[in-house]
Amino acid sequence: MPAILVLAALVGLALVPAVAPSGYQVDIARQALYAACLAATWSLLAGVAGQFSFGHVAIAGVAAYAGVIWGRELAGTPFGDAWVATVVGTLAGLGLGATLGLILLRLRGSYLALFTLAFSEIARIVIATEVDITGGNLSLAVGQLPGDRAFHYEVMVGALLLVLVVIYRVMGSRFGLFLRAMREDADAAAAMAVDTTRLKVLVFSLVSLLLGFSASVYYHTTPRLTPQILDLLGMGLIVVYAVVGGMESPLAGAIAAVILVWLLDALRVIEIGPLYIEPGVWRYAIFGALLVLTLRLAPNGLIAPLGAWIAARVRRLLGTSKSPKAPMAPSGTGDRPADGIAATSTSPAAPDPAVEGPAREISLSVEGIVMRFGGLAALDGATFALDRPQICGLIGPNGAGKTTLVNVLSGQYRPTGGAVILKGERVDGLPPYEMVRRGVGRTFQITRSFRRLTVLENLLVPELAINATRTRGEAEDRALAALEVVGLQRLARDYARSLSGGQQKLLELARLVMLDSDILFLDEPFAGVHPVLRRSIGDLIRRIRAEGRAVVLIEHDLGAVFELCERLVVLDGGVVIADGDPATVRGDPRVIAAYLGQPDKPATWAPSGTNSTATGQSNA
Amino acid sequence: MEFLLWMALAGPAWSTVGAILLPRRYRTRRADPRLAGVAGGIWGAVLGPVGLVLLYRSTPRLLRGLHVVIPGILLLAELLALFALMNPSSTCVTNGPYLANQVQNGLTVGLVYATMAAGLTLIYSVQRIISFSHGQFVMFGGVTAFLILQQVDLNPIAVIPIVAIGTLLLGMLVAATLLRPIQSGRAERPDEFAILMTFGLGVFMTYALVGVLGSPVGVRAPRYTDRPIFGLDASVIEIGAIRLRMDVLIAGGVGLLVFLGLVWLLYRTWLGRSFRAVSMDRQAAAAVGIDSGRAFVLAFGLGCMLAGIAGAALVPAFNFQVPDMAAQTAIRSYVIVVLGGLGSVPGALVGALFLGVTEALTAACYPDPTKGATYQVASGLLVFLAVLLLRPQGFFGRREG
Repeated sequence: MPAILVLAALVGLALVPAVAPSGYQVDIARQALYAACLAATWSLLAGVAGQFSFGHVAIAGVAAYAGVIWGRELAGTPFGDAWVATVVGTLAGLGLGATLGLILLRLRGSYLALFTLAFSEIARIVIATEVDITGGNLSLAVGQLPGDRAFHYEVMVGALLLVLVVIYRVMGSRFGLFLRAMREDADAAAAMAVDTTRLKVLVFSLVSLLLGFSASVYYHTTPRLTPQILDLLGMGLIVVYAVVGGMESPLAGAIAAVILVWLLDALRVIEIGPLYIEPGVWRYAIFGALLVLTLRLAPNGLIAPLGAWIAARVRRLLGTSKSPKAPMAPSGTGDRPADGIAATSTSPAAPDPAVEGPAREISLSVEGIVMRFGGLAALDGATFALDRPQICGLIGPNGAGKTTLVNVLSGQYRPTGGAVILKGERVDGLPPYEMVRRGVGRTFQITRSFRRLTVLENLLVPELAINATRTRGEAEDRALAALEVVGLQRLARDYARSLSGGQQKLLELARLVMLDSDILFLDEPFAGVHPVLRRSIGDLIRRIRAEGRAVVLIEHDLGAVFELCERLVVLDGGVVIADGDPATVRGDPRVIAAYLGQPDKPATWAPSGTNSTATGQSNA
Repeated sequence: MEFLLWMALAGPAWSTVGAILLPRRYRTRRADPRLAGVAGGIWGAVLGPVGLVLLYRSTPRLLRGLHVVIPGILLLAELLALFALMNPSSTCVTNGPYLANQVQNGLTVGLVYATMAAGLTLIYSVQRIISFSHGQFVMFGGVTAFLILQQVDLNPIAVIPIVAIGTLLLGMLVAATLLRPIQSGRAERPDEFAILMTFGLGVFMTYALVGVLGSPVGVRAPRYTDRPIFGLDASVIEIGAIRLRMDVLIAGGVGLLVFLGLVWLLYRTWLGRSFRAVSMDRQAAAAVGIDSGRAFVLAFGLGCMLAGIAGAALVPAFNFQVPDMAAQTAIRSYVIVVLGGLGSVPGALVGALFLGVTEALTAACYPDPTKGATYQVASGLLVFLAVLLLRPQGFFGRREG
């Protein structure tokens, strides 16, 4: 069904030159197709990958200039052919995008937008100033592609089609899945083995390649180039198209671009009866207002929700129910444990020899880690080691540095001092995805699921990121199996943001299981979880340990800690104050002091009583 | 001299070698690799292979910031020397007073830049968003002042308070209506919402202003010095070889006063304390009874007001190119706040002065004088790039955990 619609749309697009009243209309239509390319690619970059770049139009402009200048310099030779120049422009776009991607690696969110905005303005200034090369504001004659106006138009139809096909192929691939995961939470994606660094460079390169291609093709059908093609106004309009279309849907952005370019042209002169208005630049002001109002009143855009509504109507009319939720069993499990959990919890505690996996090399040594934030030392020389499968509790009062330690060991933070040695290799300062690939996984204290990915997709991210050769089908089977273990299989097709707090914890655990790590850090897996669910989580942890892995459990619930752990490491003030089997640690006077305060220092917990604090300090 | 030229050609190559090689060496020696990359890069650029061998041999001892700062200063000196050698006839090299004048001019303009950048930083510190319509508010301030001066025969200084009130109200209105979903927490991804919303607002404001003016134009408002000031009727004051342009000087003076006023507001009043409280910890601030929504609306309004004041103060000293100047002004503010550290008000002043001087020197010293003026803005981007690569938190910022 959608194929027929797309085909009809294509035939309609291709027929424009035959039915258009004038050549001018065909030119506007070609311009609309180019705007559609820009809007769709921006939608991929900003809406799908979450990289808000304002350098889009500038990259396209630079690529166009590169191709045209190449064609002019080599005119007369076989290399100076307009088609060759188009290829050169495309490659120039790729090169520029890759370079920008490398420079922009460290930048996120607003910083990225700032930098790209500055870049695009500087690019325009340079092109306008270097008159000898670019012709500056006097414009540059283009060696156009052969063929007439109608042919140029059809070439542009082909270009848009190609761009859209590439975009949707990418979005359907694992690369597209990673992009969306990175958009939702870059840190969590990195903790799930997604190489966010490379991903960012790749998405910039890909988008710039498409940009370079569409710009080179389009501007080789226009007579002259001026620096105005890099104007910020152009960028503003692309943003308007993408937002009005619906940020996350490149196709909707493309459709919006076609409609709005046509509208922009139609509003040149408004004539209603005796009323005659030439809105001029006010049209752009109106478009700016349109962007603001769309964002405020319909943040999902106008075209994409409309498309979804039409699709739903069509489906209902045809009587085919393709809704992915339909074959699923009725949901409503809530926080109650599901069948899968019940099954596993029948074999509690004792390690099941059947699940004993291959021997794993567990060797992590933490040597005097120091982590300072400004003047505060969250970790002040913490030292401990893991050398065999175990469930190790990492406990300590609030502010002891537990989560900071996990952040250092999982690559989130680069420590200020000390060393982390994993299997004989120094690994402190490596990015999270490198730590995961070396066998260290973690969950987050505050759950960080990919909220606008489905539950199943949340699990596919680590599975596909860590196994480059795994096919989608195999990965889905494994993910569904893992969901069954934690009892979330019924919610597989729901968005992760619709899960309850406890379910989010389970989802994170399942995600971690997919990574197949040797050492797992669980940051407060029991916090805020229903008592029945707690037992299932406990069983899951035992099961993980029985597979020959080491689990480090950060937990405030000492009951759960003493029940599960074979070993306890106690952290206070950023240093390890006790390390050993639970019974010994429990009796250690320093641990008791850390938790309850020293007997001769009774009032450390008293609310700001000046006297008692003073006494406490003088005794210390 | 030959040596220096050779170094300039090979510097980037050795810099790359150092930046790649040294961290590896430190890592394999199980030493702290954090400074090794930057130090390797800079030492390689300054002393080429000699510097790298020195660093390589002293492997585990590379620890302190000085190991980066000293060669950084050396590198700067080397680049300046190279410039002088390559352009021996440039006025910048031969004419000391000319250079001093450029620096003086840059510092004065920097004071006005500081005002508008402080606005951006104020908005950021309270709500952690960056306004992408900041340049438009500067332009709005300038054009409004121009339009008022066109209608009424007033001292340009007297117009500044009027513009200030107007931009304050406009900014508060924007924050209270358009940016409301951010305060109330209903925006799914507040960062991106803010980027798009303020950017869209910027497009609207730009073309509404062009629409009011009729077409893209250079706006030339009446000058401060069109009327005598304190009985003084001169547009230029000469002190020795230094020539002070009165118009620029007055704009800079206004900028300085407003900046000092902002510092007073932030550090000496309850309003400022509440801003700083919200910027440190929103929830804790709410717990002691600060309405963070109201703080945001006020902060956004004040930020826009500072932009408007900067525009109104600058327009009697410089011509405004509408609409191009909006983006360029905005970029200046971004460079300054990133330079000084996002959210740091003193950082904004230092960053602004730095940028003012950099721009003035670029305009004056660019080898091809016809292009110098247009590359003024571009010089900021180079500074921006260097800061982002070397110290993303800026001079005065703190790395966020």
